[in-house]
Amino acid sequence: MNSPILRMMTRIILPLLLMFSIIVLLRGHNEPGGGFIGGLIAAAGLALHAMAFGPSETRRIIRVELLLLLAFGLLCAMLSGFIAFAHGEPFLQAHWYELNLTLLGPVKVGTVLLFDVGVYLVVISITMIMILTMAEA
Amino acid sequence: MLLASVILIFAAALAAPGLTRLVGGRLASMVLALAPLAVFLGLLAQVGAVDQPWLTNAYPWAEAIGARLDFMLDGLAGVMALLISGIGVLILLFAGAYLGHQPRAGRFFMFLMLFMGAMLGIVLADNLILLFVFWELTSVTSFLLIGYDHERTSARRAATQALVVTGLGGLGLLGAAILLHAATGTWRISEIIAQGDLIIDSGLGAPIAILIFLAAFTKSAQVPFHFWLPNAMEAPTPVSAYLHSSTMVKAGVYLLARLHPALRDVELWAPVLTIVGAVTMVLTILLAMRERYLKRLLAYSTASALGVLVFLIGLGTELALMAMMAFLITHALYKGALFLVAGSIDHATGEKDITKLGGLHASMRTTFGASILAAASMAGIPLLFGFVGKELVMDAAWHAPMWRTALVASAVAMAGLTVSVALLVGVRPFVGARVDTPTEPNEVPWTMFIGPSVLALLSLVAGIIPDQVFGHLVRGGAWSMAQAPQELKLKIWHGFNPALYMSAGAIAIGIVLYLVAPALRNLGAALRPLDRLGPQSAYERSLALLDGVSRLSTSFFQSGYLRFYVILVLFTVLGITGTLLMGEARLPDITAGFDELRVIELLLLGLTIAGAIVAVRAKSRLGAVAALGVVGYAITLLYVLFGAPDLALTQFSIETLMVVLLVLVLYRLPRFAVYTNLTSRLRDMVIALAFGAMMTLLVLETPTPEGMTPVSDLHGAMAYTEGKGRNVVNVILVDFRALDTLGEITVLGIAAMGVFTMLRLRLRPRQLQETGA
Repeated sequence: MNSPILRMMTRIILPLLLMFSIIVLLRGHNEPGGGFIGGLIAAAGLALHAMAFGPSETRRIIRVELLLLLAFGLLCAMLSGFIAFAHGEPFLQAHWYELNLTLLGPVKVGTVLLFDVGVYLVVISITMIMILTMAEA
Repeated sequence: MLLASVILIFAAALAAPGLTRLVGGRLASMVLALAPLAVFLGLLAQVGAVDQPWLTNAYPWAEAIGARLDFMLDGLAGVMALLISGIGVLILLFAGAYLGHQPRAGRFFMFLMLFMGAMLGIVLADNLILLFVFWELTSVTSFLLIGYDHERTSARRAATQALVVTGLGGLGLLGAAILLHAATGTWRISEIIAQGDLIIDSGLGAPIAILIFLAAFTKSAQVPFHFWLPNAMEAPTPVSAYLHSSTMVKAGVYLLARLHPALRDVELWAPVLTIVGAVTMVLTILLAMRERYLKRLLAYSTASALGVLVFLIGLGTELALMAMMAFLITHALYKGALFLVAGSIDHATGEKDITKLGGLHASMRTTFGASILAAASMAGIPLLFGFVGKELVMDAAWHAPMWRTALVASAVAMAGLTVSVALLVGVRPFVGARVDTPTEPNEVPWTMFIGPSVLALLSLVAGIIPDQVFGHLVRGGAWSMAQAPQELKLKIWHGFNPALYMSAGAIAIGIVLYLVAPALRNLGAALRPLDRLGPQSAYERSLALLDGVSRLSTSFFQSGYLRFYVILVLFTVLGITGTLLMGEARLPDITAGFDELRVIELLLLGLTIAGAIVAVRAKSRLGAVAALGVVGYAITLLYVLFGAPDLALTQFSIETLMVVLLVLVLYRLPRFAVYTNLTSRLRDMVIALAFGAMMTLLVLETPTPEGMTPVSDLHGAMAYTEGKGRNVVNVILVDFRALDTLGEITVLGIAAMGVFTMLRLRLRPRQLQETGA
């Protein structure tokens, strides 16, 4: 769509939406949010970009091949389950680690975060695969 | 050591293709033959006392489900294993010369050795499930080997036929295994055979017997499942000599022998085995007289010999069981030899038709010698082991506990016809005047005549001193079946008894039949139309029926119309859930809580309903999409109102993206037009209303199930303590129910790939014309 207003707005909104999606992903465990919602928000932003600039441009800024991103997301989710094996526990048993980050102090990081990141990547890639393929067809 | 033997063969199988690529077929076959040779020698070292198992190896594997790797070597297993490994060596050498030069020889050797390992597994296994796995593996490798020359339609059809028939038997074996476990509580064969009375008491004796019959009769080509064996002769000769005469087809007989101690008291056991065995042994060798091709003659006579073995197990007397073991060994020796001779003749002359062969004794001396000895053993001529075996069979028939006259007559008939076939196959091609053949015959290489020569010489030596050579093994095998001491010795002369007269009579009949063989062949050809009533045509007609039914059902269910698929799915869900709900549901009191309704809830409700109505009655696609969007956002607001923020966020985002997707799709469709008539729209309305009503009932029913505590309480309590998160919904999604979520995202991924491939695969107009669309 050849609309300069849409393009200008998208240039501002897209980075905000992407950052917001990551915030939603990270806050999901204690407040409303999570991998699914974060992924959908990011996808909505990218869909807006595709409408403003065209699908090929959107593929260019995503940079990685979408199918690869999909596979990587599934891999993250699977791997998060395998970590439990190192502790002799069944598949997908959650584990939490205390990390001491200099700026933020003690932070609890768990395998569920890796799982949620996997879900996030999968949701983004499948939505964008569907939207971009249909837009290009 | 037993597991190691099987693994050694499998390892050799995997090494075969690479080895063949490296040193060529002939040399590779000689190297590969070292594996079964090692197993053979190892087994010989393990031969123990007659009346007990020689070696037991047990390895726990998955104890919780009772899956163990149990192996046992006793008399019966020992005889079979020695035959498998010993003859295997000779077959590999033969195959190296016969087809070693072919480009795919490496794969052939691999399949052959995989088969060898599986067959060894069958006879050494002490666990029913292990036995079943190896059993099916032999069926599969047999399929691969019969269809080795896969460019020929006849080979493919024969391979499929063998697989389907023996596969059916495999199912029978599995069923029998499960029932045996149910009756005795164990999967171990050595324990099961000691518990025959438990099996009878459980009342499962007859079903188990029937299923075992199914497995054994299909594998060992008993009537009416005999038809796959002659067709399996499409395989290369080494395969026919190994699988379809010496080893694989004996697996069914082995199964019957192995389980005989457990099942012999089942009422069906002895009669069925005796009758089926006797019918098979006469009928198949009679059918052989129709044939002109060497290998088909041998195939039918193999089926007949298997019938003899089954018949002897059915008789079950001490004499019969000894006879069965002796006959098992002698048949493997002479049949293996004769098949290899047939292969050598084919290799040397290019001719397989006995009516077109003759006078080869001059050009193929060693093969001729081996062939004469093997044929004599098959005919039951004295001083050969075949005579010892045949005598025992005749004697067992003479002393049969029931139906004596019929059985004696059948035995003599079978023996007579066998003599005639022996002469036709082993003697005819070599004697008489030289007949011109496609290739000028020369003696075959040593790797090809060593097989028949060794087997024939063994028949000769064992024919002169039978008890010293095979006595111990035969008694050991008979013990495994009878679980009782064995005293009979193998003798070459039993005196002038009825059995001797029967044999003499059979030889006389056989010679006469041989002389009139051409007339019999013509008679057989004239009777061919009767084949339409036979089991082979029944098999083909059932397959055609299956094909027709599949075609009909596919064309009904896969109509190509999306609306049909949707209606089908809705209908099925409606039917199943609906019937269940009808039985259980009480109509809930929907007026409860009416007084607590807030204005905003009523407004949202009104908005949703209005949106739905507009969507249905819209006059443009965009209008319909927009109205659906309104419905979605209204539901989002309802979620917000009732305190489900995650749901609301998800619904909101999906709704937005859905609008985007729908616009992209609808953009490409032609102008809005009315495609359906009133009746289909009414039908759609009825189905939609019914489905909606069912979902409503379902939702109203689920919060109040009787006698169950909601799991959400548990999740709510555990969310912070175990899940370390305050957002219960998210904790459930990624922690408590992570496996479900993993499945869901995988499905999403597959759906996306489906969209991707279907949209990228755009047929060009010319392709559309070609598919007739």
